[in-house]
Amino acid sequence: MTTAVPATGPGAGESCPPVRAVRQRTFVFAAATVLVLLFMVLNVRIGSVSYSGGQVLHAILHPDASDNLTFIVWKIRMPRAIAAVLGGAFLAVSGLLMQVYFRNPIVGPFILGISSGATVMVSVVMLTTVGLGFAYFSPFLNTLAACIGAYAVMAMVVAVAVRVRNGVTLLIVGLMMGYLCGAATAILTALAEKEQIKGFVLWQLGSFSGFKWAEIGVLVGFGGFLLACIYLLSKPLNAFLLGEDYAASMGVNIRRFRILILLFASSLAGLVTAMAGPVAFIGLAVPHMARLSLGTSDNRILVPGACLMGGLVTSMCDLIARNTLSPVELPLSAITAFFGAPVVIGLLLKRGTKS
Amino acid sequence: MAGFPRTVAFLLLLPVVLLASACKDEDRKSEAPAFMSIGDFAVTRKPTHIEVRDGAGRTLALVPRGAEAPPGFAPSMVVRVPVRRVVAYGAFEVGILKALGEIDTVVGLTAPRKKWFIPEIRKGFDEGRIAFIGDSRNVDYERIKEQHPDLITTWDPSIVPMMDTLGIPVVVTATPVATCLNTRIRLVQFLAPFFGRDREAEAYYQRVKTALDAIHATTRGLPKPKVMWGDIFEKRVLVEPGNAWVAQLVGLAQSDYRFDDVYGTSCIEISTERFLYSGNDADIYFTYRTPDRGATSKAALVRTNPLLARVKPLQPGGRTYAPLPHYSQSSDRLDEILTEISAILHPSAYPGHRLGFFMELPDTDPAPAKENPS
Repeated sequence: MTTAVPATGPGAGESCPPVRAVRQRTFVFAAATVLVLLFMVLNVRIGSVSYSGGQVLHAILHPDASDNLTFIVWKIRMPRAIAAVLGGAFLAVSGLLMQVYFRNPIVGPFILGISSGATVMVSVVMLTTVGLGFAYFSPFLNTLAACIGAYAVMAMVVAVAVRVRNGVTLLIVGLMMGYLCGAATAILTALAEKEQIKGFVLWQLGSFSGFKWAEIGVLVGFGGFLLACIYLLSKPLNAFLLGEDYAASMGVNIRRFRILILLFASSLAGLVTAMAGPVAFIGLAVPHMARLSLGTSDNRILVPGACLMGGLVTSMCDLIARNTLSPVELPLSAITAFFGAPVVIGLLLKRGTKS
Repeated sequence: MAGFPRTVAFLLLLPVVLLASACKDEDRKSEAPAFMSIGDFAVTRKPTHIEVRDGAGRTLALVPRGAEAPPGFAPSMVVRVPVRRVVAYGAFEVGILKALGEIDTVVGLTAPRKKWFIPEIRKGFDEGRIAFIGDSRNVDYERIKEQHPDLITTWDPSIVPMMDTLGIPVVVTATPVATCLNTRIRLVQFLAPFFGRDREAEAYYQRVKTALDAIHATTRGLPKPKVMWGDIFEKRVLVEPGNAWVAQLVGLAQSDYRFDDVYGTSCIEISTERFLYSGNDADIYFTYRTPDRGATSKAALVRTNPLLARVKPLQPGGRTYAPLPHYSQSSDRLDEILTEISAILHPSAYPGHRLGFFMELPDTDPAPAKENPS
């Protein structure tokens, strides 16, 4: 089971792609960019409290005003809208990297236990009285705990990756890490009190609600740096996709390169999970959407493509999650699966029919 | 190939249709008369026995001890009355049993001794009469069987098949809409036939009804405070929906519940912006959290999500209340709880009322006491 390599794959990426393919990609990029911006605007414009477009625009243009609307727009809607785009982009790129690394189209960013690591640490904070002893870190306690959990698991997986060359072994190690963390979470849940579990269950469903500007700063700074690094690896990634021997013959230091892929993919996934909880589906499905709609496996195109589509899908799903039963919020992960899975199935069927 | 766009369209529309039908279902629930929202609960008196339909729509036959069971009922659907040994899942049912004068029938609970504040329950644990049967999500069937209960009261219908196998009758005391005030008050009348305590149930009902009438009369014409009830997490907000019993009580006590338009079967997540918007001019906020779960002050709650500092009741001088740990186990004193909530909403109408189930949160946590050098 390997990632699909359409006619204009990485190998073909070196030569000039057909004009039709270039037009298609240009159109997809332009359309996705416009849609991302559109959904960002809608996410700021529409919410559970109704305001006119003029009022919202006035609030955007006058950030120093102290009225309720300005507060809602600047402190709640805008950080959330930006976080949804960034979070979706990071998860999609993380998923893309994992799929390239394992040459397996059904792996996602959480396959190595990143979200399980975050979850177990959050469960320690939310389901025990440990959190009460660290009130000083509130309101970042869950985020910090998730961050520690995600990156601890990542460090362990990377440490294993240094010693183990076989991708399947690493995959199994990652799965086992996930099971171990899952077991610890299950025990804590079983021993927890009912009223504590509701909040924990909510966290597990993932949400971009309550994002703060400081967190956006971290997402932009750290996440942006990781994305830039990943983009610089696009060419070696293409070579890696055609096999380790081929990549080595192209001058890629395979051992170091494997560690870098894991490090970057896990860091991106861990970053989003720490702040938003585990958001399902995006990292698994969006790379497929990007690959199929752009008609290529060339990572120089796919990395920015996955970024845009991840942001687009997540932004759209967040809008739906917030407004379908407003003011009640629906779980984001449910919406991403509801709307993304049929699209991926449709694209795959379309490709199957064509072939 | 021609069918492909239709397939994709169908797959895309499916969730929309599902969500739309869910909304309609909620609307139907909200339009149902209050008594209907008691769900499937029903009591029918027959010459030889009593038939009780529970929250899951199952009909049990209540048959006097020694009498012949009516035909058509499986053994596990026949309850010998009066019931003498009960395993209870919820604190609310335990409170009801206390109100009926049957607290000593409890032989099994889903919370250990340290979680209980009811003296009779603590004593029952100490004497070995009551056993902790495991968490409600994962009960120990062996312990249940060992306790030889005549009846299990539970909100969890998933245990019914196993209990049928063990031959222990189960009565499901919850329905998806059983959170309303009417159900809260009348559940006692549904449980009373199991113990032959109809008179006590009627007395309890009358007591609560009298309290409600008094609340209605006392608060009539008073200015309506704006009230919110929910909980705050680091990034998420849960509130009590408008169809919950506390929300209905707030309305009955001449107050304006800020989430009247939210419907759900239990506490439900809403957007932070809506919580903030509603809280901007709210007068009173009730949190779900007890002081031992972090609700020690308004500052402590705001620390969990600083955006909520703009919620008026959470600001210095604002009025925020937290339930005390024994509150959830005091359903036998429902009339007092209702009166206390009304007194919180309208302190001027209840001069001298001393809080017994809630505490008003201070602005900040009290400074830790300095150690005495001596």
